[in-house]
Amino acid sequence: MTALLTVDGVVKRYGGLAAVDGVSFTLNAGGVLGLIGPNGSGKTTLLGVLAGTHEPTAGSVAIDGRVASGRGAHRAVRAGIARTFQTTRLFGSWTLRDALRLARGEARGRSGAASDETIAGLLSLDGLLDRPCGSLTSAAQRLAMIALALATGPRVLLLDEPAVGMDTAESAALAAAVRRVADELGVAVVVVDHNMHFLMPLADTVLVMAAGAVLATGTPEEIRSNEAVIASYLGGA
Amino acid sequence: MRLPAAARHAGTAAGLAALSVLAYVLLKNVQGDRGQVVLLIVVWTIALTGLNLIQGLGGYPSLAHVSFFAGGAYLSAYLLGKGLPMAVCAALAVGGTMLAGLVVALVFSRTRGQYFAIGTMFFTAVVNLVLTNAAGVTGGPNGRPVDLGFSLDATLVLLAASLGLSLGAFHVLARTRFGDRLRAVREDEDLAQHVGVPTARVKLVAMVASSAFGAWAGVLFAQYNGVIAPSQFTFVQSFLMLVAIGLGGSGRLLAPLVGSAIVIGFTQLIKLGPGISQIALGVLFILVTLLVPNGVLGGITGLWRRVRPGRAGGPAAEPPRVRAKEEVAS
Repeated sequence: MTALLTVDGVVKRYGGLAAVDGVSFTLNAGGVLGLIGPNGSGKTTLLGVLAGTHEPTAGSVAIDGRVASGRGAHRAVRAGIARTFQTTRLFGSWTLRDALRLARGEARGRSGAASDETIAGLLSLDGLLDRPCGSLTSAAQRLAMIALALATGPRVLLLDEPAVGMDTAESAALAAAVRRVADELGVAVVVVDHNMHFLMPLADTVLVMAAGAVLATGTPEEIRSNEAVIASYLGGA
Repeated sequence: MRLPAAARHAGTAAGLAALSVLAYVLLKNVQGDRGQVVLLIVVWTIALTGLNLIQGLGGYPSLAHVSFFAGGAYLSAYLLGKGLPMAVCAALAVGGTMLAGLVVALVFSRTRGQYFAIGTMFFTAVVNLVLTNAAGVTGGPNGRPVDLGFSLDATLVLLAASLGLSLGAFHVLARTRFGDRLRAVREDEDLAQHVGVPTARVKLVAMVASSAFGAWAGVLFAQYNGVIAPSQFTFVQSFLMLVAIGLGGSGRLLAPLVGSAIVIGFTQLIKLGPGISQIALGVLFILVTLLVPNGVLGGITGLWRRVRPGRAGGPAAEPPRVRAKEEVAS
């Protein structure tokens, strides 16, 4: 099976500092990759490279073999990569439906974006489409960010700490929603989060970063028992 | 009851046509100082409709707008002086100013917020210095006369028609994908990029379109006034234009007209002494910003929502924020 997302030797340098240093991995359609590591290990920078925000110093990001990196964020969207942010970012005064309409229109070169109702159903946002984004609860706003990304019809979805600020029940519901997105839409999902109770049951594969490089890759069970990972990041988690 | 979209658009078109007719009647019949006030309100409304694109919809506070206004005025005057036909002069003046708008956009579109405002402010300062010192072309600080390219009556007709047409163009643009993209940039430019909006291109187009409105207003102003001077195109004028859009209600269709009427009225009709009118205007701007942050039109719209029958039933009937699509309806 050919990988949907291929990240090949990505390096991102700021002067002498390598924020991301030779990261490679692949991800199939419908797969969920958990990206973990200590603060400053390069996770968000890597996400920025994948999303087209940062141009890689070396290496490439490809979808179905077609290079999608280094061409700007809006072109990455058209290539099929969408992202959410650590902090909630929405068009606060717009209704969710208006925001989804804009996102769907911008990805007009792509096909296969799910309908508003399908997205709302997958993310348990039914009944909220015609509410202004700014009036939604904090948890609903974080789900609305994912809805906005899905409206672009992505093949790869990048979630940057989606469960931050959520309680146990909300993060469990979020994990179930992300799983539905991966399974039912066939979207490859990369999730960055520090909440292991949220991430480990959700991810098929976990990639651990430290000092910009890949420390370990494996199933959640393998990562949990990896001594180097325990020493550098997980501890007793 | 909400009217169908086609009926609302037809109503808007009829309203703007009536506004043009009213403007013509006033321009034709009001003389003296008050006639000058009417002229300035009409000219500013045409110019500020462009500013309402980049600042109102896009959220980019441009202080370069008076330079585009000056570009239309001076270029057309210079070319007329060379004996070119008026239509050619007007086209070249608007086209040349749009080119300047493109350069400004290319240079400053990497900056945001107050940095964009500061950058464009310096552009205006440089343009004003050039107008003041390149006496061979501009006439220097005392300005230069403008040859008559249009007859006075033709100028009045063009001013009145341009008023309705420019507002109509804004009404249409605000409802296109371009309008949505600009609103998205205003709300959150980074997020806009990440849902696929080519924000750099959108800002370039908005700035160039904005400069075209300013330039055309400058061409008509020069024709009507007969004399143009750098003192008419200073940084203060640019700032007052920015204030006018804020007072009227950024992004709203009639914001240029309402904002111009307030600013021109304050500075031209209320003679409180040198500088005092502008101080009073500043106080008014602060009060409007504090009391009705969406401008006079936003305040009226909000008040109407609260008092109209069937909408005062409770919090569920009133969304906490105004829907973006409705902003241009007032």
